[in-house]
Amino acid sequence: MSHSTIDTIAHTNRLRHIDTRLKVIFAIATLLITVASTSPIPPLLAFITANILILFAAKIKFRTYFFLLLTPLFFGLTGLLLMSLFFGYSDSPLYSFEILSHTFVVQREGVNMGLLVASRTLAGSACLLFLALTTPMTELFTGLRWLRIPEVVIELAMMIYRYIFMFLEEAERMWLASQMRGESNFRTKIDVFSMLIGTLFLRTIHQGEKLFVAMNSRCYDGETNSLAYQENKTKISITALFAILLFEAVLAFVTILTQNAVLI
Amino acid sequence: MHIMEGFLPLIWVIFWYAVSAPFVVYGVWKLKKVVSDHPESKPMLAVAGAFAFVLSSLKIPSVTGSCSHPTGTGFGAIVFGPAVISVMSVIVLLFQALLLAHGGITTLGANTFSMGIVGPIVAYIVYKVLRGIAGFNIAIFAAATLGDWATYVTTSIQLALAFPAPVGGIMKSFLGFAGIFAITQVPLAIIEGLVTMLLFKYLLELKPDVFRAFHVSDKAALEEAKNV
Repeated sequence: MSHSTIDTIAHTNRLRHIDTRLKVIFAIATLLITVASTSPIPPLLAFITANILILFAAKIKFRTYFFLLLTPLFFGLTGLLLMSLFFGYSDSPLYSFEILSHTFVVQREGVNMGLLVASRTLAGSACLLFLALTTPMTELFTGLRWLRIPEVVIELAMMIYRYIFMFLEEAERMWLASQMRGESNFRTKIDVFSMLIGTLFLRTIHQGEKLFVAMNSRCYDGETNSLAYQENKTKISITALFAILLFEAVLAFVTILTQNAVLI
Repeated sequence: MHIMEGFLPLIWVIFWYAVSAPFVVYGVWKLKKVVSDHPESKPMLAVAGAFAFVLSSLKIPSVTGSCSHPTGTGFGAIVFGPAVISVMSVIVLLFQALLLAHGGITTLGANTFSMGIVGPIVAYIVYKVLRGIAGFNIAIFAAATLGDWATYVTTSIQLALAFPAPVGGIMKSFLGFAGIFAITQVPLAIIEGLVTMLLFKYLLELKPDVFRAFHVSDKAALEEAKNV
């Protein structure tokens, strides 16, 4: 399934052993500059950089990456379409067409706005995917701890993460089984789907009970204590940090330079 | 109804984080209390969170064949209560962003507000009000459906506030966004209402004491469970 591939890639890619903090700083800083920009140029720069890092530095297969990028691409294009039709003054038509005797006018401001939002969505998703594809989730949890997120939330998150893949497999098995028996009409479909969710929920609960027994037998008293992840204790590479900060500074500078600049 | 990464401008990113924060902080406080009173509820809530994630990656049977999945807002609001669900949804939304590229980190605040706060609160209120009047099943159906609709209206408002139309303002772009979402969301919410209703019926028949395990479930639902 596609979900487990992200997790596998995060553990096996070429940037796996780069310090987590560096990757987080890069992703978050680029994201923030991207959403702050008022022209599509900085997001496009960020998009290209993130793509180079994902495809060439981390050596992630183009097919896998493209498949993940499809959702944001679709969302961005919908936004572009909507905005080119509804966001503009009536004196700047680029193109107009008629559907069912209703005239739609594509406006210049709308297209520019749409391009800005679409570029930001793509760049943002690329940054997010960079983080997701190069950093295992367990290491990101250490980062959350560093942000002083309450322990109970982190613990809950870790346990949720632990069970996601297990239940996904279970759900897929059950779904396949239901498909094998066939679904004759819409009513049955709804019925079967509810039953599937219900059974999955009960199995989940059963797993929860087993988990509590397992934790209890290891002296669980409301807290899971473990040694901190040692790998993160290493020093950050100064060159890498400098390169990232330089990139962010350039990106911020371009953002200021291209304020409100438009493509068409 | 996830808003994609990068879609909102910086000012709205900050705004929605700030709006969601008090609800989530209250949720964390409540969660801490529940977990310290009943340590066994923590693994239960964890598996339920994983269940919510899996639920959102299953395809709901839909007429249009479009990409559509259940949100579980109504179900969660009744089983966990609106406070705890806000924390759970932050975690699940973060995983959805990182593992499925649905939603994002900058839009996490806005998505939490629509899906983890407004939707569940509406669902919870509808359920509370209708339970006495119309009965358990109809109350659950209405709660899940209206909770979904509340979520999608909130998302449309969030998008309209961030991108008001130059002519016609916020209202015009709200109608634009809401109109586009309505095509998939209106029938989808009704289907989810039906599914949630059947789900509760099924769970109460098979294992009526299941909701007791969380220590946060609605009392009326527990009573209903006793009656079965």
